Amino acid sequence: MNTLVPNEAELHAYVDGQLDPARLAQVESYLASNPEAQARVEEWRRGADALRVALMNMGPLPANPRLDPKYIRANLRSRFQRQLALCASLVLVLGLGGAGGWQARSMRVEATTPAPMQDAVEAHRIFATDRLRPVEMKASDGTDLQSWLSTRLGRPLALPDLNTYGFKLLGGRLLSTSDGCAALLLYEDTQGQRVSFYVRPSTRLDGVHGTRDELGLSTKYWFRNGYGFAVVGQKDDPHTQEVQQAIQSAI
Amino acid sequence: MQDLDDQALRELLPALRRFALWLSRDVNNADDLVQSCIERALTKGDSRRPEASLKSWLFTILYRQFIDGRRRASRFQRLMDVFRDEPELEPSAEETVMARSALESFGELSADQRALLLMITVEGFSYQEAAQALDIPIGTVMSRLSRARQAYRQLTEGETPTMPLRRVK
Repeated sequence: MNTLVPNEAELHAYVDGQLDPARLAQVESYLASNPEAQARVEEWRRGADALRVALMNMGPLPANPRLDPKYIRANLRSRFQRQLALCASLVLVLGLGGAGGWQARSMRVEATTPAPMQDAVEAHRIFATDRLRPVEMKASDGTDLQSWLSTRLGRPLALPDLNTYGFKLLGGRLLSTSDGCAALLLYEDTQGQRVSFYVRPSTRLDGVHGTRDELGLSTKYWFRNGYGFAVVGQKDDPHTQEVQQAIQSAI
Repeated sequence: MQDLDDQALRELLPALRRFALWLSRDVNNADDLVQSCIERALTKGDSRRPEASLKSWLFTILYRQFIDGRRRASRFQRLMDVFRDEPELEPSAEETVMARSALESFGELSADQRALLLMITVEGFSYQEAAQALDIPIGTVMSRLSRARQAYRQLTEGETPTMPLRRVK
């Protein structure tokens, strides 16, 4: 008779009914002739039965409606929607914050750092269009005009001669800026076109210079020895560039 | 997500809750486990092996979550122990003395042993299914089963249940 001694795993499988049928008969006949092994297996079986009975006797747990799949599904759906809404509002908030911040940044940048010599452009806009009294002191006052402006400006100021470009000096005026006193010279050609030359103290680094066009005006500016200079004229006037060039090289 | 049948899930709820209860030994924690298990099953339907039965798949999920939760909780274990109430298992009136002691003994086994015994002897899992659910090799299932049965027998026989077993070699 073929009765290979079953190992422990097989004995467990026997108790749990997981032995394959061919082996089952062999193990049964082995157990029949081995009371010790039989007793062991019986003990396991009794334990398993006791546990089954005990757990079944506990009865069902009280019903819990929140565990119903339908309820959980609905819950998941609404949670998903809430998360979606949260995501959307987050995106919105970030977007608004970002846009607002960006706007605030550009507002601040504009407020703290206006374009260089922007005051020269503003001055030109106000006084170059003034046909009645564009200047405080006329060019005919000659050396008085020059010494007045030089004194108030704090530096000797030559009055550039632009006759070769067709521009005659109208005169000058003083303006106040946050950096100190500014001098404005206005020139006019025979067609009534005007260019202005503007000087004021500045804390900007020497050598900074540039040109910019806006609203039909062309502005050339540069900084030297603690002063800022700007020449503003009509952008479409071919002489403007020549005049700008001439004044910059003269100063 | 819709290919999971609500009715099939519903029918498995008692077994899942029993499993969760004996893992966590706390009614509320158990139902939390079951809830997150079903949530996961509903949202991660693709993680199911084609050959796995719904029941063994759900047990697998639930056991993983129990293990994850225990791992997470272990960091705060000391603090938790101060506040956590003793798990209350209201025994029903008609319970026999034998049943009581059987349950008490069962409760004193380790969580791993409880999980395995429950799956094999009560839920009728195959060793292979149990191995998958517990994520251990089948050899470990057999040795753990052996130890669990030995420990259970000693506990039900009242053999110094609180003393750790010492073997002199």
